[in-house]
This record gives sequence, C-alpha cells and structure tokens, in this order.
Amino acid sequence: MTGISIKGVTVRYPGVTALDDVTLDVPAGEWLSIVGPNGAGKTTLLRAMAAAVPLTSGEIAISEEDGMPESVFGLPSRIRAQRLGVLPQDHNLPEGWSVREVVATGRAPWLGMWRNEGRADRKAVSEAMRLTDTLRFADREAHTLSGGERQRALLARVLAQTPKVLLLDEPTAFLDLQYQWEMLEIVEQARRERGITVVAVLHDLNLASAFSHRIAMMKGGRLAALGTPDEVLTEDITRNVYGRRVTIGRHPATGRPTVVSWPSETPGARNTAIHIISGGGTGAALIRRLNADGHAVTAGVLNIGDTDWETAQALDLDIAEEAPFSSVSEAAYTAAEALVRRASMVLVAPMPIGPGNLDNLRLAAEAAKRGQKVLLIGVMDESRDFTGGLAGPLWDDAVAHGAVVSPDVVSALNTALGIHSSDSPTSG
Amino acid sequence: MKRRLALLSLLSAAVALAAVAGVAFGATPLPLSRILELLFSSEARSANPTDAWIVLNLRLCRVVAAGLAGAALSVAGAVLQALLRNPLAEPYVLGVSAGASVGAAAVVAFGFTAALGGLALPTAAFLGALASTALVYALARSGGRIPGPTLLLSGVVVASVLGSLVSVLLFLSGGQNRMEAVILWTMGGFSEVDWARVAVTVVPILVCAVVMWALGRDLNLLAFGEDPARFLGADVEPLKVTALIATALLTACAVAMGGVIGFVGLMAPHAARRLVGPDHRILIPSTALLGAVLLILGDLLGRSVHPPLEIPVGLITALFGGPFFLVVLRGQFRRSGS
Repeated sequence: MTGISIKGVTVRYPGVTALDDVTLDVPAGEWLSIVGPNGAGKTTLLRAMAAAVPLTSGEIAISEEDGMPESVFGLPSRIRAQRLGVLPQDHNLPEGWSVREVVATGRAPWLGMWRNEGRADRKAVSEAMRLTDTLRFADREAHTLSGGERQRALLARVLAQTPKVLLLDEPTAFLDLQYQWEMLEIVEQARRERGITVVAVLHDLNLASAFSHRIAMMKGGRLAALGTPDEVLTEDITRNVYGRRVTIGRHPATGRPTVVSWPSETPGARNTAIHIISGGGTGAALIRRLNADGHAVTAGVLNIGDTDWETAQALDLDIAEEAPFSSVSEAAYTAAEALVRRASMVLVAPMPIGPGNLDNLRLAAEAAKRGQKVLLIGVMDESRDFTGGLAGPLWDDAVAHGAVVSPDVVSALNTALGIHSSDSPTSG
Repeated sequence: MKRRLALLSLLSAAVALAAVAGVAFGATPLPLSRILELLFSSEARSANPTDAWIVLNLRLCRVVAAGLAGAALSVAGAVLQALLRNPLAEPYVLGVSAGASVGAAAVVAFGFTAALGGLALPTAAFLGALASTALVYALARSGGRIPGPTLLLSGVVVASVLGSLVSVLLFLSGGQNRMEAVILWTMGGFSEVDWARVAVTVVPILVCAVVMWALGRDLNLLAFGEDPARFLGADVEPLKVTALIATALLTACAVAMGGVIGFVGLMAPHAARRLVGPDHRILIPSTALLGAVLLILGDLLGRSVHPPLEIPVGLITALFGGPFFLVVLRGQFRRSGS
C-alpha cells in the first residue's frame, strides 16, 4: 500500500503560475479525483506527481505503508515506473503493434536491457487484459481500435505495469456514457483487488462524485476545496469555482451527490411575483423554470416531503406548508392566502384534487374573485376530481371571475412569461 | 523467439548471397572459381596482380562499403522513425545526409586533412550531420511536439539548401574533376571508396548499431510518445540525445563512404517491419541486414546496367525509393483523414 504526499508545491512557467502552493495527502488505497475548470492546473498537478514537471518549490513523495517517504523526483525512472503508473491524455499508437504487444510494453520497467518477458510478465499482461476485457481483441492492430477499446487497451497496459499508485489524466475524455462508467468501474475493481491508490483528473463532476473517496477541486492553480464528494460538491463551492449556478441532487442508486448545471440566466421578464399552487410533482418544473427566469416564486399549500415541496425547499422559496398527507389546515390556508395576495399572478398546476387539498383550489377561486390574474392548467374532469364533484364548481367559479385556462404546463409557462414580457425567448 | 532467429539467419544468408553476387559480377568478366581462388589464396593473388586488385580492392571493398552504408542508413532510418514518431523520417529526407555531405565536401574542397588524416572527412561529415539534425529538429519542433508535415518540410528544405551548398563548395574549390566530385557527393556512389575509408567507418557503424539494438526496448516505448515512454521508465532525454547522435554518426559514416544515398533508410525499415513486426529488439538487426542487401544489390545494378559506365547508386535508390516514399505518405494521409 503506497500513498503520495504533496507539500507546498508551486510550478511556475514564464508568465504563468500553473500550481500555487498546493498541499495534499493521498493515503494508500484512496481514490482521489482532481476536478476544476479548464486551466485550473489539474493535469500539471498529476504530471508533477509523476515527476514529469519540474517543481519550482515544494516536494512530492510516495511512501510505502511502513517505509520512509521518497521523493518521486529522486527515484530512478525505472523504479518510479514500477510504483507509479500513468495513463496520460496524449498517446501515440504506432502502426503494427497488436493490442497484446502494446499491453506487454507495460512490463518495461520490470525488465533489464537484454531480458525478455518471462512467465510472471506474461501473467501480469493476461491478468490486466482479463480485467479490462481486452482479450477478445488481443491480436488486433492497436491503432485500428475505436476510442473506447483503445482507452481500455491503454488502461490494460498501465495495469500490466502493476503500479502501486495509478495516475489517470482524463481517462474518460471522448468516451460515450457507457464507456465512461465502464472505464472507471475497471479502475475501481483494480483498486479494490490490488489495494492501489488512484488519483484521477476528471472533468465530469458526477463521475468524480460516483467513484471518489475524496475530491480535490482546483481553481487558478490552487486547491479551492478538498473533501468527500458531499463536502466539496455543494452549490456554493461549485458556483464559486466554475462560475455557473448548479443544483445538487442525489444519485438514486449510489446516494452520491449529483450536479446539474443551470442555463445562463435569460434576460427579459423577471421579478414578477408568481404564486404556484400544485402538489405531487405537478408544479416542480414550473417552479424551477420561473425561478430560473428570475421571478419571485412562492408556492403552497404544499405537503411536507412532497416533490414540489422538495423543489421549493431546494430553491429556498417562500412557501406555505402542511404536515405530510394532511388536509390543508386553517393556519396553512391563511399563510398561503397571504402569499397569494402578494403575487401578481397565480398558477394552478394540473394536480388531482381531493378532500385534502380542495382548499388549494378555493385559494385560486378567491383570488380570481378579488380580480387577481389566475391561470388554470388542464381541465377539471372526473380523472382529476376526487372530491365527488366539489372541485368542478370552484373551477367554474374561478373561470367565471376571469381565470384563464391553459391546456398544459408548457403553454401555461409561455402564457405566464408572455404576459409579462413580449420578448421572452420562450414565447411562441 | 525461434521465428526471430530463423528470420535473422535468413536475412544473414541474403547478405552473404548479395555479397557473392556483388563480387562475382563486374565490368571485367571473371569466373567464380577464379574469384574464389583470388580471395583465398595468396599465390593466386601474386600470380594475377591485376585481377587480384579488381576483386579485392574494387569489388570486395565496394561490397563491404555498400553493405555497411546500407546497414548504417537503415538503422538510422528506423531510429529516426521511432524517435520522431513519423514513418517517413529518414536521414536523406530529413537533411541529415546533406549535412554530412557538406562536412565531407568542405574537407574535399579545402583539403584540410592534415590534422586528422583519414579521420578528417568522417569527422567533418559527423559534425555536419549533427548540425543539420539539430537544425531540422529545432525548426520542426513547436510547443514540445514535432508535427509530421513541418518536420518533413523542414527536412526537405534543409536538404535542398545544403545540397546546393555542397555543389557550390566543390565548384569553387577549383580542384580537378569538379563535376565528378559534385556527382559523388550529391548523388552518391561507391566508385571512390577504398579500404582506408572502410576501416575508419566500420567501428562507429557497428558500435552505433549495437547500441541502438540494445536500446530497442526504449525505442519501442518512445514510439508511443515521449510522455508514455517516460511513464514506462525510459530516461527519455538521454535516450533522445543518444539516438540523435547515433543517427548522425551512422549517416556520416555512410556518407563518408558513398556520398548522399536516399531512401534506403525508408525502404529497409518498412520492409523489415513487414517481415518481423515493429519491435525494435528484432527490427534493428533485421533492418541492418536488409539495408545491407538493398545497397549491395543497388550498387551492383548501377554498375551492371551499362558497363563500363556506372549509374550512381543514389539514383537507383531514388528511382525506387521516391515512389515508395509517396506510397507511405499517401497511407499516412489516408489514415489521418486529411
């Protein structure tokens, strides 16, 4: 088990500081991902770990579990290659080499000048090829491989090298979704089976989140954040580093944080106070979109734990809420009514109406009666009305007082945005 | 492993056959039995001094020189192709031969052989080759990479300028037989070679070839790129310097014996790769043997087409090698999709 420690590392080129006082410890057996915007110094840091970039100051050492740390720059090239395996981004594949021959060159650091591959070397090669599932094209010419196969073959080579520390530079660049996961799953399997340490530069924050123990997020040659995916992938940190708004969610299978980025804020209509009445996820898209466009969105009454409630919570909106699966109470109704009165428009999502949320429809009808702008989405028929016919009259009442009916959410959105801004990019 | 040994034996046999043919044929018809006599019996040699001189000093010397030069240029070509990751790299195309030729021509033109004697010409050729290698390398390199088209263009232009410089030097020198000298040093040929020249160059050629063979595994790694080679434990910078010096020395030795001979360093490595694969541990010796065969036969062809006139061997190799270059170039373009 070998770890790697980086102390106060600065790398300066004429006119550029590529790395600025980076300190980082990667314990043995850990998977650390380096993320950050383009030009943040990720690749320079990885190459510095491989002693391929001269340091201006600082030191980088690798250490066995019970051994002294040794500077990567002090090790002879072959010894260094026995411990550190690197999968670089840039790779030439000359003609004439079969995949197996390419993988076999991974044994080079273990062989002397005149010594040819022995039994142990052939075994390491076959084992690496089995792990990467490259045996089935072992005899093909390597330079004819597709992007995904090629990347797997090069991964097989670095695994055949049997390093203690694996340094990967953008191993998933240019790969499609399936190959991206497959590549990193192979690396993870190798990490677990062999107890190696993995340091990977990754562009995709979601892949970094799914596979890493810890993430180092870099910006401008400095370490902007270091910690578990949960600690680093927050909306604030990500926005500060990348300069783009993101929403953090949860991966349904891995439970790891997921990062969804937002479109650039659209110019035009904003700051309209809009109240959304919804439930059961029928309003989530409306809430997100209108909020993204800069409107002051409020919502309610929503039951706590409901999808729409979670959405509004995530966006930190003003809402009127009710306990889970409970009918709208008087207090909640009053709170919602206060929000409705402040709004210049009320949107009613196409949610089913039952005895528990009939009061939500009443809120809209009362608003219409007061002369407020009300937009009803869908139709009110027996597929939606679970009150035994109480919802219909309220709906009709609202329409009678000037509420507009929109056939679906999209056209409602267009109407809502169009009413307030004729140059809205979404209208039409 | 066995297959490799068999292929090497086969190629060695081909060298031997080519050498026999090279000694057996020539402007003066001599039966093979007579030639063998002259080669192995001193009595026969003293009985027929003229025939002995033809066989030993003209034919055998030429065959040995052509074989050594062919091996040297081919190994240089294979090494340059790995080093620059360009299948078209070759001492002639990259202007290394022309650089060596400038050095050689300067010695011929100004006659400063006094200080170093027989070593003066190969030494000057080596310095010229080294300088032109460095020049082309510096011209083609941009941002740590050596783009293929830039490399070839730089090489071709440097070769052309240096080739003209050779002609100018020799014309201005005012020596006799200026035309012949120009032809020899720009088109190549073994008509002027003697044992003294062979003796000076044989050791550097063999040493460089063996060193490159020993570095075969590192050359393999280098063919994948400098970074990948570094990460697989190769000491890239010393390796590059060693390889560049070796190619300059190999080329200089070949030029010192036979002038500028193009495309052998392209044809032999490509043919050898077809035979034994891309692994330099087998490619280097194979390409050396194949290069020797090519140049011995090329020289033989040049002097047997229309005896007693000789076609310089450089013209023969260019006639075959030029089209070969274009075929490889075409394959390159098709592969890169441009």
